[in-house]
Amino acid sequence: MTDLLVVHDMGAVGGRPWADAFSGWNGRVTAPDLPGHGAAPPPAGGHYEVGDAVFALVDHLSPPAGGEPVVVGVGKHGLVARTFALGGRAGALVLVDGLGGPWLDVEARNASLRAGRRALLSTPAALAPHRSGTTDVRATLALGPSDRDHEMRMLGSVPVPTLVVESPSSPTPDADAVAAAIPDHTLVRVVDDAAPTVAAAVIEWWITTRSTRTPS
Amino acid sequence: MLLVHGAHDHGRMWDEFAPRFAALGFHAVALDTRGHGDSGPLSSGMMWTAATLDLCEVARVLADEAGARDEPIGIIGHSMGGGQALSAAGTAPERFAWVVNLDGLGPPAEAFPDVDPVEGTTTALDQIAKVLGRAPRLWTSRAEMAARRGAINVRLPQRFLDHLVEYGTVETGGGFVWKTDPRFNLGVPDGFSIDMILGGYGDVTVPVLALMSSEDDAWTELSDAEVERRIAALPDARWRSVPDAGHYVHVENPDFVLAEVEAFLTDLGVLA
Repeated sequence: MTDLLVVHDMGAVGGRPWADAFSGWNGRVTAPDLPGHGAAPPPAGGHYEVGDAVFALVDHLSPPAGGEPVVVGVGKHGLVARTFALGGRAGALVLVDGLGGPWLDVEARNASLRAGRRALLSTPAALAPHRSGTTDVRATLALGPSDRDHEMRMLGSVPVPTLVVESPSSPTPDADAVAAAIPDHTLVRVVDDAAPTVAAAVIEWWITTRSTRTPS
Repeated sequence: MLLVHGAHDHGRMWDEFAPRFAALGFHAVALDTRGHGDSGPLSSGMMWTAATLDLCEVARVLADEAGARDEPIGIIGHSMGGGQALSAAGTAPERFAWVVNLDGLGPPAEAFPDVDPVEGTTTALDQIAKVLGRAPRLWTSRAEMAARRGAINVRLPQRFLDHLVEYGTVETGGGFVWKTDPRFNLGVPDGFSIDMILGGYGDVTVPVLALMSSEDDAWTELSDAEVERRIAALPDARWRSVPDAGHYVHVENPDFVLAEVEAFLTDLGVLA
């Protein structure tokens, strides 16, 4: 049995839909609400960083008896899952619309970050205290866009088997080319990004991966 | 005007300097930035954007409280605080009239080494797990803490080290700990680069005065040529080298710094 950790998307309702969708996983499934999402309190201050999720999940990544978990990263938090894979905390990686993008050069990236910061400053709900029990509106603002060169370099070093799940909602304009940077990858396209659709694809891939790589 | 301290420091670091600005007619306000001094803890070490937004909001509140709603204020930042001041002014130029940056034009290019992704990420995660899994370091005395900091910032006078420790530490069970959140500066590789810093400088349209160290010191690592390159990326900036001063230019040569700030603000028409 292998554990599975789901890092839900930034701005999503939380981890519950993923925990339900992976009820057929043969192992322990962990899909926590990340800070400011679902039932989890927000991070301190007025902004969300990828680091918030990394810090919140480190405790979930202690090596279990069955080995390192399969880590699933959804959307913007694909970057978090990729971080755990690079950092030796994942036995396998799944990126759900999580390759990054849209790609911008330095100038456009700075402009986008600045626009995000200004959006936070000009949105009353983003400056007000967070109402518990709902996903924080701030989590949907100020999302940093991706640097393609950096992402390609990082993905090119991922040391574990990786499933890339791409739906019509993917922000990556050139997913085939980007996924090809991952040394050991499989790319599947799904009809939508609903948790049950994605979970079915992941379970099928994992069964295939295990049967072809584990000595009998 | 808003006074912003540097990394691992706190707002009381301005205690000697703020009254001199007040004597020029300013209402000088020094804050503890997030994760420092008596401000709240960090949720993660990656806090630059949040700190930038803090300064923008504090500027708005200060203007409102002074009965000058929507009027921009001045901002002076040292080291990391200088970088945050530029970031805030670039984000919300309508809230800042001018910036004085004290030896805070960012780290040198060597601070962004081309680390192997696996090695760099593993090290970063190990550090995060280590810090989150242990209590903050306990020191036996404030004198010991001052000595430790003095070994890093070797040019800082003892009275300044003592002041830093007096307000930057708290007594706890059996000893003392730094108030600075141990999560500060912890993060994972995110592709940040000098180009991102310089690109952000292009948004700083308000006048900027940078006063840079002239002596070798910890956290003072930019050559004059590199300073020139960074100043050139700021649309309206000038700079001076502060004689006989390391990284803490305002501590080591306060008269020179004050005279330069006064001349800068006179030139802008802020002071008569």
